[in-house]
Amino acid sequence: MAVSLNSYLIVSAILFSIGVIGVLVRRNPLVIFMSIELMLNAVNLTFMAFANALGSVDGWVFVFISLTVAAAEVVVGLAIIVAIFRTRKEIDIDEMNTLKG
Amino acid sequence: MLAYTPLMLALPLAGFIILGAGGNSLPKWLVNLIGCGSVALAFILALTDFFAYGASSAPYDIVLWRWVTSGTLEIHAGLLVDKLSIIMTMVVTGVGFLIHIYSIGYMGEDPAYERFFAFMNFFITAMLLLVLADNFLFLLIGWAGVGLASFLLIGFWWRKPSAVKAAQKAFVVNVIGDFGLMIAIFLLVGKTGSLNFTDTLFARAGLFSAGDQTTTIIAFMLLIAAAAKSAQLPLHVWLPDAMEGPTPVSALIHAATMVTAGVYLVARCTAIFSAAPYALETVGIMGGASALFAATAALFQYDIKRVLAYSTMSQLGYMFMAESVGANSAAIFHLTTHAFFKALLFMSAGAVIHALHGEQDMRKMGGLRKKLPVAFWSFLIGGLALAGIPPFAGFWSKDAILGAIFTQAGATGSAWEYVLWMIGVITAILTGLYIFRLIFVVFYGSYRGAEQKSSGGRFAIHEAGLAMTDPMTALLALSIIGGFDGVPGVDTIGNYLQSAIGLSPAAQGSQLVILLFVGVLAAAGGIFIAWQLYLARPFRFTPNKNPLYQLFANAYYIDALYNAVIVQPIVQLGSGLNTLLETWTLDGGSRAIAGGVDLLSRALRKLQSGYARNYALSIVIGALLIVAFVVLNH
Repeated sequence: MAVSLNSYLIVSAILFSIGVIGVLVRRNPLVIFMSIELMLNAVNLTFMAFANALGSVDGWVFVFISLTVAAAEVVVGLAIIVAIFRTRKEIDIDEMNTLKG
Repeated sequence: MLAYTPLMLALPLAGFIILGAGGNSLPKWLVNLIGCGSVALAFILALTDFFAYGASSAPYDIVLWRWVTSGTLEIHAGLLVDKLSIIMTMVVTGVGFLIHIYSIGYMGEDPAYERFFAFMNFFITAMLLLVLADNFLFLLIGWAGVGLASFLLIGFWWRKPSAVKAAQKAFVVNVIGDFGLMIAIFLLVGKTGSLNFTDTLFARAGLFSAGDQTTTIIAFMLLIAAAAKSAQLPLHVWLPDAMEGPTPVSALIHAATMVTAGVYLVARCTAIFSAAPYALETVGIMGGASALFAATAALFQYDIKRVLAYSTMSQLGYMFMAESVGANSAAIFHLTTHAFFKALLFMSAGAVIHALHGEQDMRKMGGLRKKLPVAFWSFLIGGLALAGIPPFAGFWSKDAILGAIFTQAGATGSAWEYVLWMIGVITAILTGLYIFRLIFVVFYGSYRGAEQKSSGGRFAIHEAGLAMTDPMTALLALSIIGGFDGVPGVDTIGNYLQSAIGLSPAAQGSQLVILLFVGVLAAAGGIFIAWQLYLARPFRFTPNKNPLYQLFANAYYIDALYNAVIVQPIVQLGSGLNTLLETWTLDGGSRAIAGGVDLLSRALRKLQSGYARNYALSIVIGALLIVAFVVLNH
C-alpha cells in the first residue's frame, strides 16, 4: 500500500513541532541540539516526500546538502558547548546571557 | 646668436633649482657665484641679442615645442625676440644683476641667504618669460610667476606678521589682475582662434577694429591686468605695503622691473588698444589719476621706503599717460630711465636703513650726509633724475612724455589731453617736492635717532661695503647718462623701437624749447618749495591736524575704504556663514542624525535580552507570521 504524500507531511509537521517545542522549553544545550536536528530531519523528510511525489531528484540534492551542513554544524556546535563548559563549569542555557543589550 | 635666447631663461632657472634644492649645503661664495653669475650671463645673452638683432624689424620667433593642440588652436612654448623684448630683457637682466650684487652686501647676515637668491633667480626667470613669451598663454605664466616671486619675496621675513599680511595682500590684488588677463585670453581665442602674437598682434590690419565690442572688452581686461601689476588706481593698495620685503626686492621687483610689466603689456598690445579708444582713454585717466594721487600721497609719509613706493606708482602713472596718447616708445624710454634711478634710490635707501640697523622712519634720521657720502650722492643724483633736472636721465624721459601728450593734445584738440598734460606738470612739481623733502630731512639737519654706539663708544653709523656701493655707483652713472639715448630730435631709443611699437608724437622747434623749459621750471619749483619748507628754516616733525595733510598722509583713506567696503563685509559674510552653515547646518545636522540614531538604538537594545530561547521564540513567531501571510494571501 502506497503511503500518501499527506501522511509524510503530517509526520514531518509533528516532528518539526516537537523540535520547536524542544528548542523553546529545554535548558540543556545538548537536548536543544537534538531538537534542532529533529527539525532539520523533519524538513529533510518533507523534501524526500515531495521528491518522491513529483518524481524529481531535486529534493534529494537538497537533503544531501543539508545533511552535510548539519554534520558540520553539529561539530562546531558541540565544540562551542565543550568550550563553554570548560570555562564556566556549568551548561545551563539561561545563564549564558552576557550578550544582552 | 638669437637662437641662444632660451638660455637666457634657462640659466636663472638653473640657478633657482640649484640654490633652491641644495643651496644650504653650498659655501657662500658658490651661492654668490650661482645667484649673480646666472643673471650676469643672462645679461650678456641679452646684449648679444641686441647686437645680433641689429636694425632688423621682423620679430624673431623661437618655437621650443608644441604645447597645446586643441582643434585648430595651437599654442607653442615659444620665445619672441623683437626690439621691445630686447630693451626689456636688457633692463631686467642688467638692473637685476646689479641688484643681485647689492644683495650680497644687504642680505649678507641673513640666515636664509641662499633662499633669497633662489627666489631672486626665480623672479628673473619669470620676468624674462613674461617679456619674451611669443603668445598670451606663455605670457600669463610669466605674469603669474612674477606675482608668485613677489609674494615669496615680500613675505621673505615670514616671522614678521606685517610682512606676511603684505605678501598676502599683494598676491590677492595681483590675482585680480591675472583674472583680467585670463578673461582677455579667453576672448582672444574666441575672436581670433589663436594666441600667438604673430597671428593676433602682428596680424593683418583690421583684425581689431574700432567699434568692435569684443576688442574693447579685451582691452579693458588687459587694462585690469596692467593696473593690478603696475599698482595703478584703484588696484594700487598692495605696493606701499610691499615695502615690508627686503630692500633689494623693493628695488628689483617693486621699482625697476615687475611693476613695469603692465606698461610692457599695454605697449605690446598696441594693436588692441589702438582699436579700443575708450580703453585707451581709460589708460590715460588711470595713469593721470595715479600719478597725481601717488605724488600727493608721497608728500607726508614718514617711512623712507613708502615715499619711494608712492613715487614708483606716480612714475608708472606717467608711463600709462604716455601710452594713452600713443607715445609707447616714450613710455618704454621712461621705463628704462626709471629703472635706473628708482633702483638707485631704493639702493641708497637700503644703504641708509642698513647703516641704521633697520630703521626706516625718517623722523629718526637726519644729518647723515657726512656719515654716508655714497648714499647721499646716490640719493641726490637719483632725486635729481626723478625730479627731472637736466641733464639727468629722468629729465629726458619725463619731458618726452609731457611733450608727446602736449603735441598729441594740439593735434587732436582734445581738452582732456591738455588736462592730462597739466596733471603731468603738477605731478612734476610734487615729485621735486617729495623727493627733496626726503633728501633734506634724511641727510641734512641733525641726527634725531637714538645714539648708535659701537663697543668702543664711537658713533657707529658707517657706510655699507663695496658689494653695496659698487652697484650703486654703476646705477648712479646710468642715472646720469641713461637719458641721452632719448634726447629730443635725436631720440635714438624712440627710433629704435619704432618698428616694434610705433613712433611717439614729439614736440618740435620752439614748442619743444618751451616745453623743456616748463619741465625744468616745474622740477626746480618743487625742489625750491622743499628747500623753503625743510631746509631754509629749522624743521621739526610735529603732529599735523590739517585735514588735507591727514588726507594725503593716509593716502586718501583708500585702504580704510577697501577695508570697510570689501574686506570687512567678506569677513562678516564668512563668519556669518561659519555660524549658519558650519555650526548650525553641517555640524548641527550631523549631530541631530547621530542623536536620533542614538535614541532609536537605546529603544531597540531592549530586545537583546541575552536569552537564547527568546531569540528562538522570535524566530518561530516570525516564521509563523510569514507562513500565515503566505497562506492568507494565497
